[in-house]
Amino acid sequence: MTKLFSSIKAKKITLLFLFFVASISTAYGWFLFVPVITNYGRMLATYFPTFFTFGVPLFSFFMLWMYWHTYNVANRHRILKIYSITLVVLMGLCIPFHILSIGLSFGWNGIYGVLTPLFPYDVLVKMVLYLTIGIFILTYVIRNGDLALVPLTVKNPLRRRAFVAMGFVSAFTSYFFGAFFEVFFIFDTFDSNWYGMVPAILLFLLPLVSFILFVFYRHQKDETTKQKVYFYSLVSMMLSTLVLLLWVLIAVLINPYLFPQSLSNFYMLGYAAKMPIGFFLIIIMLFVEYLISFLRYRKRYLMKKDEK
Amino acid sequence: MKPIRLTILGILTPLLLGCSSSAGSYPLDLPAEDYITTLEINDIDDFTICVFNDLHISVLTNLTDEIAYYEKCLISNGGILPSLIVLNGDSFMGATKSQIERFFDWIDSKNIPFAYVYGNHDLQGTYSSTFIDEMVKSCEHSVLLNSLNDNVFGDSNYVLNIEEIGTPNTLKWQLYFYDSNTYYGVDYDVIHEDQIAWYEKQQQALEDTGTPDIPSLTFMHIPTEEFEEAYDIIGQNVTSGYDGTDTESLWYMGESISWGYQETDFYETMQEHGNNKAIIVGHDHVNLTDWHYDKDGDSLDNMMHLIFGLKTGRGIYHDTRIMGASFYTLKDSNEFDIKWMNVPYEDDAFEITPEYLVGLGEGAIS
Repeated sequence: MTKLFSSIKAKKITLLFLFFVASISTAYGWFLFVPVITNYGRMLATYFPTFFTFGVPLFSFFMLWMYWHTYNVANRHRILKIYSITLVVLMGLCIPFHILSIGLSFGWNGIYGVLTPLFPYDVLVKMVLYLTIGIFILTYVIRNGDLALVPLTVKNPLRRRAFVAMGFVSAFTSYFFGAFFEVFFIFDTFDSNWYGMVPAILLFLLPLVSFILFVFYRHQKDETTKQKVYFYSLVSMMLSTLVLLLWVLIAVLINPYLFPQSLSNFYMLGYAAKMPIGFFLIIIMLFVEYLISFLRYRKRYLMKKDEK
Repeated sequence: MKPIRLTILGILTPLLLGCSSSAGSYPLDLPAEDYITTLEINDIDDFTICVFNDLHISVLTNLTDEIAYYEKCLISNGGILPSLIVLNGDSFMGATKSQIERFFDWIDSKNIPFAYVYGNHDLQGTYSSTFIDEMVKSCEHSVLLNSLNDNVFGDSNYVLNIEEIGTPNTLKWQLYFYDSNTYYGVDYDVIHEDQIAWYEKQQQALEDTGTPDIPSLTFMHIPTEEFEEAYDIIGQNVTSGYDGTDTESLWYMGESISWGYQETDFYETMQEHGNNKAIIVGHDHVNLTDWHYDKDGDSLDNMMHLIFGLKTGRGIYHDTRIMGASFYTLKDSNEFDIKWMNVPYEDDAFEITPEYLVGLGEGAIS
């Protein structure tokens, strides 16, 4: 296992796959959670173990990413400890609560197919799987308790705030990336508004592209290449966003009902308040990101040392 | 070609394609009869319509429990099954395909004709914008007619003719169903001008058959501005009341009225023709009204009932004191009876009386 993940390629593929799973899980979990909000919290007690279960892949992605970006043995051991204890405690609570709450709410047998096709059993299987993973890793952590005592020898090049930023960015990005896949549910027939749906749905991919470009930039060694990657990434992202927004704008001018007719599935919570809030959120998020990136670029590459 | 030009061309192509798209214009100008379906009955006086408003079936809904509740609603009118069920909008919000399939399997299994009307939330789920249409049309007992490529805005604009069997059959009532649409900007949409023109076309077709005075009821989801006017003029903005000495209006207003973003001529057009007896809506879950409102004068000679029906079931916000099913019984005398049945989940159903409804608010019976 250690050998398998020793190559960078294997790590990248694993992280990408996990991110993909986390995205689908996060977006679907959010889709399920919206009715809880619009129902003023009704059934929250019944379903909260399910929502936690949908959040586990994203948490796993983040912890794995952190693990692979940590160089000290003791710190890695701590990450495994935190991850496994969280899984064991969370699932240890969720499993009995899930069985009890579903039993009390729906009766004690049968497939209800409420949130997921084989609900509650498919969710229960996932919970047991996560618990097993948690126990497996926790056992490893306990058996290798001496790893925690290995002295810290390497200064981690990533600062603490990079880890915090990664947590936020991956959460938002995974939601929008996962929401993009909803397109495969709603595009089962030809929609006459396709010309406006395409750019609006493509916008969901931009946070991920931006995220990938950022990771690519971070992994550049040469400073000149790094500057070029930064510049071209920023310009291309801004241009892509503007082009897609212009495209959406033209489509809305052609048909002012584009969003309520064909895109309301994507903005369910927003449409509970009569407008696609998610659409504006993604635009704001992207432009804040571009503004920060531009300011950082200016500070890092354009300003003289005494101007900084 | 230089890469920069290629890039520009690549960007412009979809934009130009978008501009040249014909989507948004609906080409077919269908004849009036293409929107009409007919129900043949023995006696019009026995014809009862059961209306379900705002079911809000979502992924949170346990359909086993809810279907049992809907069954209870159906028989709440003295145990007699209705002649027609109307699903008057927002039946779904955040539902899955399997839930929608199960719901329509159930309703079709009742062997009662049913009419489907779109609300502002029905298309918000993990399915395409035509999925509900396909499901409803696949049901044996659905009366929905919805041409997806006509020049009438919306997805559920159609007419149900109620004919008494004889030689020949006699057209007794018409039921109009409208898609009151969804959103416009950051507000609710309204009935569009082409829908109003469609109504006039239907009325003209009726005149052409030599029977211009057929009474009708209108079912749609979002109220019109006249509901607000009636509340101001008759209700005087008091939360509840029964105007027994004057207009005979009855109301309980648990929330403000969410009508569309602008005023339309919809009500006026119907009033001009003089056949429509009521506009029956849902949308505002905790409003229950029967305004007797005549916009064109002081007298009630051209009055229309403006009815907020009962919300059905516990999907999203609701008031259990006014939750259940609404029944409308058509009469041969061009009138109709209203019966609102409060249907609790646990207890027995009971009829909502003026005294009960007025008692929920601050108003009085006059």
